[in-house]
Amino acid sequence: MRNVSLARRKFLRHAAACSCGALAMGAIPGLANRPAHAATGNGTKLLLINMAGGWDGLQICQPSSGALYTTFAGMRPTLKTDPAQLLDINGAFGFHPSLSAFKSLLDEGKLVSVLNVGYLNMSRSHKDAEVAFARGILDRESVQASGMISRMGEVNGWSSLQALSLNGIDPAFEGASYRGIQVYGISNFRYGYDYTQNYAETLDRVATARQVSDLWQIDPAKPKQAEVVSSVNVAVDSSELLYQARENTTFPTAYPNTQLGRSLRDADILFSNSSLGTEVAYIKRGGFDTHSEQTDSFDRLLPEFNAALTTFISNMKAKNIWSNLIILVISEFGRTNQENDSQGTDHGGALPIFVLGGPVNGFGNSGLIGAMTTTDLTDDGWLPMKINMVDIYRQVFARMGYNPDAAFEPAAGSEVSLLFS
Amino acid sequence: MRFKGLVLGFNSYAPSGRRALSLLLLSILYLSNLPLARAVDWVPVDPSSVYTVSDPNFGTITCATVKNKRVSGRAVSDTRFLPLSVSVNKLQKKARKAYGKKARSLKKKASNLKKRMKAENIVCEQGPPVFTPTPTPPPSSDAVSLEKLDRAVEAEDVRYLHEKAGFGYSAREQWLASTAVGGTIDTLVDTYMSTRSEDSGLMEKVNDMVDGSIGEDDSHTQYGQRQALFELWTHTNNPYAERLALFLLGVWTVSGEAVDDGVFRKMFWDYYQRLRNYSYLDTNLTELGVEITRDPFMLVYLNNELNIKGAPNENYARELMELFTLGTEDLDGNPNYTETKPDGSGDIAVAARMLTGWWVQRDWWDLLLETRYSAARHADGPHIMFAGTPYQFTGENDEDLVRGIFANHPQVKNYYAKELLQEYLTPNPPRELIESFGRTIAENNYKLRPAMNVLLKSKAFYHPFYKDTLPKNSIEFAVESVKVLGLENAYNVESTDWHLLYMAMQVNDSPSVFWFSPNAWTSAALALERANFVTNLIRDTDAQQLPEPDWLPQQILPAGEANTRQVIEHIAAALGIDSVPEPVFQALEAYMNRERQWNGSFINQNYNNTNAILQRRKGLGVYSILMTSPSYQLK
Repeated sequence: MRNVSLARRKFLRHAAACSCGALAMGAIPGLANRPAHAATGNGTKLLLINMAGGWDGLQICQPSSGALYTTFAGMRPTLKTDPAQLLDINGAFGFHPSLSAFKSLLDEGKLVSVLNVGYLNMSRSHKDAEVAFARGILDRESVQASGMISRMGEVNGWSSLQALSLNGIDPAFEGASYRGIQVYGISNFRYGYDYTQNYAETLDRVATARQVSDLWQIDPAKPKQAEVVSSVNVAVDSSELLYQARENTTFPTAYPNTQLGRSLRDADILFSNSSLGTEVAYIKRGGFDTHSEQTDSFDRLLPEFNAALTTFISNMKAKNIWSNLIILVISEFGRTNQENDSQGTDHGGALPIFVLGGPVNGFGNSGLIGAMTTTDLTDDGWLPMKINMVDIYRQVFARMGYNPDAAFEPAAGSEVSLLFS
Repeated sequence: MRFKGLVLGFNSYAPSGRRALSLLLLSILYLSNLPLARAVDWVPVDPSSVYTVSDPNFGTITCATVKNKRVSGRAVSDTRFLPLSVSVNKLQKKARKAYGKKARSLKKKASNLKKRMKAENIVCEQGPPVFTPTPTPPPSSDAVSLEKLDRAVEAEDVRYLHEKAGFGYSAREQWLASTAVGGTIDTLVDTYMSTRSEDSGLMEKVNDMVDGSIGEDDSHTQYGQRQALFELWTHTNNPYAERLALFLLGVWTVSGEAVDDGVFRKMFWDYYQRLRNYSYLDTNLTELGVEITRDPFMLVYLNNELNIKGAPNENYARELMELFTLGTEDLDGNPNYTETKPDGSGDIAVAARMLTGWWVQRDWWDLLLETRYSAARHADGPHIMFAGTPYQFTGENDEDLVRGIFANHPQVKNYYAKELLQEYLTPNPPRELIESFGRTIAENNYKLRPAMNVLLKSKAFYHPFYKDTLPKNSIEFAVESVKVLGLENAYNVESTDWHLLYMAMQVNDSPSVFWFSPNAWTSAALALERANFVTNLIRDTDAQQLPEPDWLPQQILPAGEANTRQVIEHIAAALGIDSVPEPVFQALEAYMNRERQWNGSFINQNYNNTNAILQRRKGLGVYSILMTSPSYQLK
């Protein structure tokens, strides 16, 4: 089905180029008619990497010396890493041996590990915790909020291409009126990519669907109707632009053919094509819900992450994007301090968050913010929250040139003021 | 007018030259928006800090951040904001200067405005309008009533029932309209829910699709299972039961690809058959819960096979309560169970101990899983669940745990009521309806069939308030589209499965331990993928190949020399679109009377409903365009 003659490909490229030209001239209303209050940042871009399932921050950023290590080692008899093998952070903590990309950035002063991050009334439910992190609220129980990306998009009047989820549906993109694109890989985000079909007719149908989309009578009491209309408009308005960006992007270093490699390749495409205006890319990698055989899972997942991240950083540097790029590595919760008897860990509480990128002030805070004590490990089954995630989100968006007050609650006052230079 | 800030000596006694200079300076400062010269009436604000909030008591409230505090007021311009506190001060001042009745009246006004200001400021303090708005309350008591619908059944009811509680409405289902329209709701729903034999050969074909896919490369099994289920859904005569099985999978989620990295993926089929069997019976959730807890596929998926006396693994214990029976919180936001404490207490820890004893025998030759029990692995009781609560109970093992939760915990009924209402009615069901349907479920001893019978006959279910509020999930969309287009026997099985991957709904490979919420099914990527799916279905190929073996577009278009408007009306009716706005008619007619060329130009052509090529291209094109409409995407 996907075979296509060379001549046809050539034609399609020309056809797409024409479409792109039309877009540039504002022929497509969804892009031309952005809200009057539309705002762009200062050119800083954000890549959010969600290690879904609740990754074990204690093994990613492990205590490596003193009483903290002794306590930790007692709780993790089979899962602890020998401190000699860890990639040292500050003499007290070390990265998992697979994470050489983290260590390199740390040494460059471009990575900060923020310990014990969470939110008030943390949940150990995947569903609730994922939603809580996606909403970016101080207290999970205090307010029903929309997803933080959706919220930022709404208050800043973002275009649908200003924020994209590259691994599909995510609660960070739900709830408010903003319709950031949530796509399973941008290579699939194209109308009529089945080249066996009549492409000219397909384009006419798509254009007509876009035309009539705004003509349906919408009942204001039924918000899903407007969402359907909006989703059609966004899809039509954006698909050819993304296709063109994909066709035009080159990569100084080839990405590994892994899930994260493909996702980061897509993020590269978005950030490399300034005409798209993408400021936020969101990717997700599952598999970190390690109730059993955690070492095996990490031996598989962390090298994949490290290789893909290394390539991505190398390409971002080569393209001069790195100096204005922030990468935030998050998950929905950490894991229990004590390993279970299946050589795994169960759902926990707070976790370390990693902030990477050109604007990061790593040297200014020794690469590590926050403090962990032995009682953090022993008092409860999981790490207590000491730094609220909202404080990090606020700083990130402020560094991007946005007013965080517009979409986030006031800061909780955590000591994370030195994240960026 | 007084200005605060610089003392400029602006008063009526100043020399005229000085007054003129003061006026000039003030004008410059005022126009340049410098704070030194701002009027007390307004304050300069960051435009991005101004926002409005809809409040049930006060309507629309405008808020802004003034001196790091969010306050209520009025936006004078993009950068100027008049806080309500200024108006209050003004009124109070006026009241102080006034006498007698006028003073009392002004005082009262000022007091009321101050009260309102305080209340509005509280609303403002809660933040900008980015939080989920309060759902619109139901318009009438009928919208939350489980009383039986007491009017005669209309044709629209038959369609609506199939849309909400089945796999859509097409020519295949129209027989029920001829039976039920004009009759009672009992006839409609009882007939709909009754079990009918499937068409000859269907189940054999379904089983062949699964069995035939199991070959040397077992990864084919996952395709076979999905393709078999899609074949079943497009052909079944029992949409109620088959749709309920899909709902149950959404609650008791498993993923074939997550069990031992997919090695035992063929066991997903057995697991799903268990859900199907329950859907055809009375669907007793308690019995289903006991069975699934011991199902080998689930034992592996959520690690309960690794949950051993003295060496607990809490994964299944947590999800049993969080995802399968209770949810994390009740309707008031109170936790439904307690977390594990370091001393080993807490409901999750207790539940985990009750769940011990089971393990799974792996047959690596035939790739089968079998449940085994070992008393040595079981933590003997008695165990006390929900200790210290009114619903505390004591039990020994997994069966006691599941039965105990269903029998004792007051939240199970509301959890299932909410899950079912979100799946079958609307994403944000009113609390009153959740509670009344919950009572119905409990009164029926957690047998879903009789409880669903009540719901599907109720006034609430057919209330217009809920129509077009729930997005069809991707399987519902795909199955209905195949049926509406009459392609049940001619759709491309493999490409349909491929498209479902990009439509985010591969049934045997869930995205997580739970499926997406109903709110997830309206994204741009899905809109695009659904359009591509329909394009592929109707196959307007360069070679003009029609779907095989025996399908023609004429079957789903009006007969004879229908004009464009008649064609559009016919298609809209087939898709259940109540009304097509005139501008949509015009746009569609223009589309039907043109042909796009490869270079992007158009040539005119008059649609002719007797021309097979135009029927195929434009007639089916109208189907694909109207399938993007809110009416078709929602139910």
